[in-house]
Amino acid sequence: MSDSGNDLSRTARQPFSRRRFLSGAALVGGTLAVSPFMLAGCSDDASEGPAEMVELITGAQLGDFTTFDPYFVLAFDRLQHFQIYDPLVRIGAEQGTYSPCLATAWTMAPDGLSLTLTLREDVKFHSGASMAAADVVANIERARDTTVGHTLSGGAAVIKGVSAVDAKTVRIEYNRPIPEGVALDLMASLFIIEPAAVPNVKTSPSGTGPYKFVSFKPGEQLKLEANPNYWQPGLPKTKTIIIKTFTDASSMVLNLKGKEVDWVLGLDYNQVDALAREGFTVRQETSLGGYWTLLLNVRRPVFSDKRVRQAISFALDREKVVKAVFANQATATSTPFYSKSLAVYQAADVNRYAFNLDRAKSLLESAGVTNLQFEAMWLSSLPQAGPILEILQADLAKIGVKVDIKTFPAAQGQERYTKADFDCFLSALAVPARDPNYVYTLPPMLPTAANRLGYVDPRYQQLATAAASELDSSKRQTMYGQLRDILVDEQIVVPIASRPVLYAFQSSVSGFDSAVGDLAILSGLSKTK
Amino acid sequence: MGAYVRRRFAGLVIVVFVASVIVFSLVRVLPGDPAVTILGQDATEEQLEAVRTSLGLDEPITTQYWLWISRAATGDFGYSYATGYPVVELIANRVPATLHLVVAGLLLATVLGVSSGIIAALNRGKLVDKVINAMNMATLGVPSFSLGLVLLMVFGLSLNWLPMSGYVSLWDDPVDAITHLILPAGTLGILIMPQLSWLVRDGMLANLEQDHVRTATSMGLPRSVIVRSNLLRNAFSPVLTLLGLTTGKLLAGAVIMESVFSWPGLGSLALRSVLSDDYPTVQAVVLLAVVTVVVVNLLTDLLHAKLDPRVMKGD
Repeated sequence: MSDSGNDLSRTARQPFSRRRFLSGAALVGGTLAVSPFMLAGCSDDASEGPAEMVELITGAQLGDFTTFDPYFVLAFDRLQHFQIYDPLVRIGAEQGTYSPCLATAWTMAPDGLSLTLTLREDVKFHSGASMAAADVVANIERARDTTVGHTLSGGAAVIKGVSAVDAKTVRIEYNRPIPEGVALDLMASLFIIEPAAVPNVKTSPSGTGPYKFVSFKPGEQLKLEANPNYWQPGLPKTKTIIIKTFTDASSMVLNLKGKEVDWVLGLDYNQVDALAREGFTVRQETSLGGYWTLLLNVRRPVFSDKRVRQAISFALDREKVVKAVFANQATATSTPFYSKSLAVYQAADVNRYAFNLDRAKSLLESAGVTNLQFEAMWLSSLPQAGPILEILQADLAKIGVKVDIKTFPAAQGQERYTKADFDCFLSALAVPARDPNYVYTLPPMLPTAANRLGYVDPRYQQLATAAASELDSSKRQTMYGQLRDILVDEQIVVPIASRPVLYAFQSSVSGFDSAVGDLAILSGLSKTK
Repeated sequence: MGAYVRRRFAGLVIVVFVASVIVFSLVRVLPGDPAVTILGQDATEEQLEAVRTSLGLDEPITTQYWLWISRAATGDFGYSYATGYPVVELIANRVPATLHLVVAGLLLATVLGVSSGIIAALNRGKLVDKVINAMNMATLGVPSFSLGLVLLMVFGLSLNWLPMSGYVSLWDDPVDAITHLILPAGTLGILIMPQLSWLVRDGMLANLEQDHVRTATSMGLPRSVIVRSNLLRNAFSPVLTLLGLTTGKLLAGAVIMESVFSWPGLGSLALRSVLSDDYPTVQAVVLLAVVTVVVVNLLTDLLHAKLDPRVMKGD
């Protein structure tokens, strides 16, 4: 797994697929955090920016924005949330540490049953109204509301109640003991919306962020302007930000080359080297910790035997995939956890299932499987997936396994996935640097009957449930280490390669940052004349 | 003429009604779940159900249709699942851009197609005729997407003569609007021009052998008068029919042009809506396209009937 998070800005090398961005396959689920640069910027002693603000910076992304409600964090909505809103807490992208944001301090009760947050003074919403504890309470209550159908309700289910202790103090109570990391993960996902703006938040948002929403023309552009009351001194550095939306990557890159836009999000892997040669700054984000993976449906008899799943993993030539499909811009891996993750990463797992057709064949023989045949599904919105499956198909054919590759439009394929109507699904997952509880209960590993891969292992279920309430960190580490070993051994989720995100900038642009979950931070964005 | 118009208008209403039923049914019969699209594939069943209920998707399909069509009749097409904006607002914001693109593309195609057809017919068998024919063949052979990108690279990136993306309204800044319009409308026009060119050429050549043309020629009428009065008038009838039929093709071509040139029109709205299972927007955009094509064809037929009253007798 790629671990180059400390080397985020470079002039070549690193990749990303704009289509992975297009996919929508990985629901990021409000995962956030920032790099060390932004962590410093988030604190009270942030340095003053230049006196003169940049008038206008124009960016572009592939795909349109869908909603400005930060409780729905989807694939195309990674560029707006940190501009319009702030979370209560931020997560360090690499260290897995939590730092103050709208909450300046917090205290987790020793019994793990409550969290007390102290809110920052002098924070104002875009309307000019001051942010108070009651506003935060209203946001947390909304997060708990399952009728809204947003992506935070699952994580917020552990909250028993929330109240304002005073104007600047909020107390959250939980229905079971939880570790501090679990509590703070949710706080980091919770962007604070101005309560009065909630009814129209999808189209007319208001928060406390560095930029105010001005206008959005679907299919055309989002316009933001600097928030003069922003609580971080010296930020933002640009008066107006425009983000254009494109549906064609080639056209978008031509606009970058023609200087019609200052930066773009959504590059193809094979565009990286050419852009770097032409002097553009190509920046790779690995904070998402995402990876390409095969998801095997255990409900199907063909994959009910662990040895068959391991055989598929051994038959997957990850190095060839990285070379042929990702232009050497991704990193082959057999583990879903990257090195800086808190999820008890183990380096030996990276090559645990290195390409070995003989091993694959012997595993199939030991499982008594002959004439194996299965269907592999991929979404047309993830165009790299097809070639990956073709490589797997060709290699498996050498040992007598027939793979029937089928492609579906995203909506159709995702529906099949949610109905568990598939054998094998090539998808892209996000496993950001967060509390291991988050990582080990991601939907494909969900230790409940709702697991769409049909993987319900009592051992895993018991361990995951116990670890979610374990307050002793060393015991938790041990438990998550055991969970990791089960996952790597079971190969329900078969990792293939890392899935970094790529941005490209004009050489005059600087100050860009992003948070865990690919959430862009534009408050420090600036441009030299 | 009055009875003819009434008959055609009644046909239009029936076509639109049938189209509404088909469009509504199709978007629901096709695989895909708007709730999954909104929340992502990893959402829980409870979250998905909450979204389905909020969208009214838990109602019987007949109820959903009735609610939709009865509101649509009053101009209310509901709210976009994808963005939360009123569909009417989304469409109203996109119509001007598409109108700019389609009308400009059609004008360009007509001017280029008719003039090159005339030139080719008047120079039948000569080098200029062959060159025009070859250019038409080549243009038809190039995928619209590729042509758009090539023009973008040449005139936008390399020569830096024209803007590479975006839309500016003619009412806001006419000069800027035209510079933004040249590449997308030019590409669209070039793509439909060959058929017009061939049709005009063939129509004129067919008329060249007619008695009335030979008579006019023998009477010593100037060539320009013969072309205008005897050849073009008769050749124009099938051209008019083609222009009517081309409306659908133009709207389809606009989808591609809007994608290449980041043009915020109905085509890109339709594409996005289809990909995101945005039922209300898909239904409204397709219905609008159907109405547009049907109305344009109705107008074409009426104009045709005006030019050639024999058409009404055959109807």
